[in-house]
Order: sequence, then C-alpha cells, then structure tokens
Amino acid sequence: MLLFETFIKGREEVILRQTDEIAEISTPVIRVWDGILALPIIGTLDSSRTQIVMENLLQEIVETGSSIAILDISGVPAVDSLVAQHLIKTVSATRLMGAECIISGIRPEIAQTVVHLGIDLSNIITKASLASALSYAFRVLRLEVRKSSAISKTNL
Amino acid sequence: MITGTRKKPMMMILSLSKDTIQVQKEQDVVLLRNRIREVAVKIKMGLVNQTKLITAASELLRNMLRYGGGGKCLIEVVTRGRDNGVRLTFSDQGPGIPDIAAAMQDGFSTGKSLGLGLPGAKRLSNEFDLKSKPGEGTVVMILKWANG
Repeated sequence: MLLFETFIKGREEVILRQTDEIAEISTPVIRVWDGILALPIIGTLDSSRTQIVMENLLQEIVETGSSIAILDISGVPAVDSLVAQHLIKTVSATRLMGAECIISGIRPEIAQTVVHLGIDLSNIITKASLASALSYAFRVLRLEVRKSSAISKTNL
Repeated sequence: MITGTRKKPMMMILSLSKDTIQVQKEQDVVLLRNRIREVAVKIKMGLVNQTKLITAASELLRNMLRYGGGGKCLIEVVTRGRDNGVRLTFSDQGPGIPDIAAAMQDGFSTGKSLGLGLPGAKRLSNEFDLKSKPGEGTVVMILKWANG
C-alpha cells in the first residue's frame, strides 16, 4: 500500500514538473525581422499560460523596440470565449506598449466557431496565415520584398 | 386538399454508447476534449462540426469547473434514423443558476468573463437543454448531429 502511494506521488511530481516545463518552453518569442516579433502559440491557452505569453511578449517588445507583434494561433486546437478573452487582453496590453498586434493562423473552422459564439474580434487585425500577417507587417513598416532583376556578376 | 402542416414523424433518439468522465481540475478538460474528438471522428463528423462541438463542450466544462466546483460528463453516441450524433451531458452539484433567463443572455456573467459561454454553447449545438435548481446543481445537455 505504501509502495503504491509512493509510486503515485512520484508520478504526480513528474507530471507537475513536466507541466511547468511545457509552459516554459512552449512560448518562444521570435524576432522575424527588425521591429517584427512573432509568437507561435501551440496548445490550449489557459489563464496561467496567457500570463506567461503576455509577460514574454511585452518584455521582448521593450528589449527589441519592436512595433509589430504577430500572435500565431494555428497550433491552438479550439478557441472558446475564455481563450478569446485572453487574446483580446494580450492585444490590448501590446497596444498600450505602443506596438500593433496581429493575430494570425485563424483556420476556417475556428473562424466559423468564433462567429457562432458571438465573439467580436473586429477591432483586432486578424490574418489567415503567418505569411499574410508578415506581408501586412512589411507594408506597415514600408518594407518591400522583391525579386532582384539581375544577379550582379561581382557577387558571383 | 390538405390543410395544415403535416407533422414530421417523431423519431426516437437511441443511445449507442455511453462513457462517463469525472472533471475536477483544469487538466481534465484536455483529456475530455480529446475523448470527444475521438468519438466525433468515429461517427465521421465534419471538421467544422467537430470544432463547434468541442468549443461548446469547452465552454460548459469551464462553467462547471468555475461555478459548479467540478462534476461529471456523460459522452453518448446517439442515433436517430440515419443520423448519428454526439450527446454530452454535464452535471454538477454546485450552487445552481438562480436566473436561467439572464444566464442565457449574451454578455451576462457573474464572473469576469465575456458572458458568452451558455448562449454560445447553445448556438454551437443542435439541441440544448439546461436544468438547474439553486442549491442542488446544474445539468446541461448538448447534442450535435454529425451533419447537422
């Protein structure tokens, strides 16, 4: 009986440690360009995770002086009202810091669900993919990506 | 000449399988969502309906954990004629909902949430039923047809 309890306790500790670890590693803030940050979110957004995401993002905005942050939610399985509320809060906090926040990675089924739920995301800039969010960010920063017309021979 | 509308024959909803899961903490939500997805995939529910069902379930689960202090969820595969569907019944022994009409309104919340959980879950599912007695608990049933 004692052995069994010790075993269970040991397993629970492992699970708790792993939960902490997942929370740590799963919220990286990536500098995709000068002045543009990207934050891919994988998994469910609960209150404690939103807190970590928001802290990391705001800190990184200060450190890099970025003016645009892209929150990519393609890895979030379902967006319910709580997750949406957390997203809205993160966007408002980013705006307070003087940066613009774009939410990308909204899948068709997520879009339909959000509309049925009655969540208003109309005052947030949303994009279907990270690529379109990035091109929007380039436009805002007045950057241009184009194919070079000719390869200069001096470089070869 | 036929006057009046002919009533559709009422078909019985039959339950094919039953599965009860206890929900006590936030980690159970993920487990339950995965279980619901498995069941939905098994009856060939489309991706949009799957997402709607899981989102509705997620709203009700959060309510149950937050206001009802946890409870249990019954997952059933149901059939009516040629339609298959998933029926979820969430029951808790929490304080109950004193004013159901108010709780079903958009934007009403006694907590600090958006207040879209219950009305949203109703819009996302095909059938919705809420029973609650103050002091005894709350039972919420939602049903989603595979192609409804």
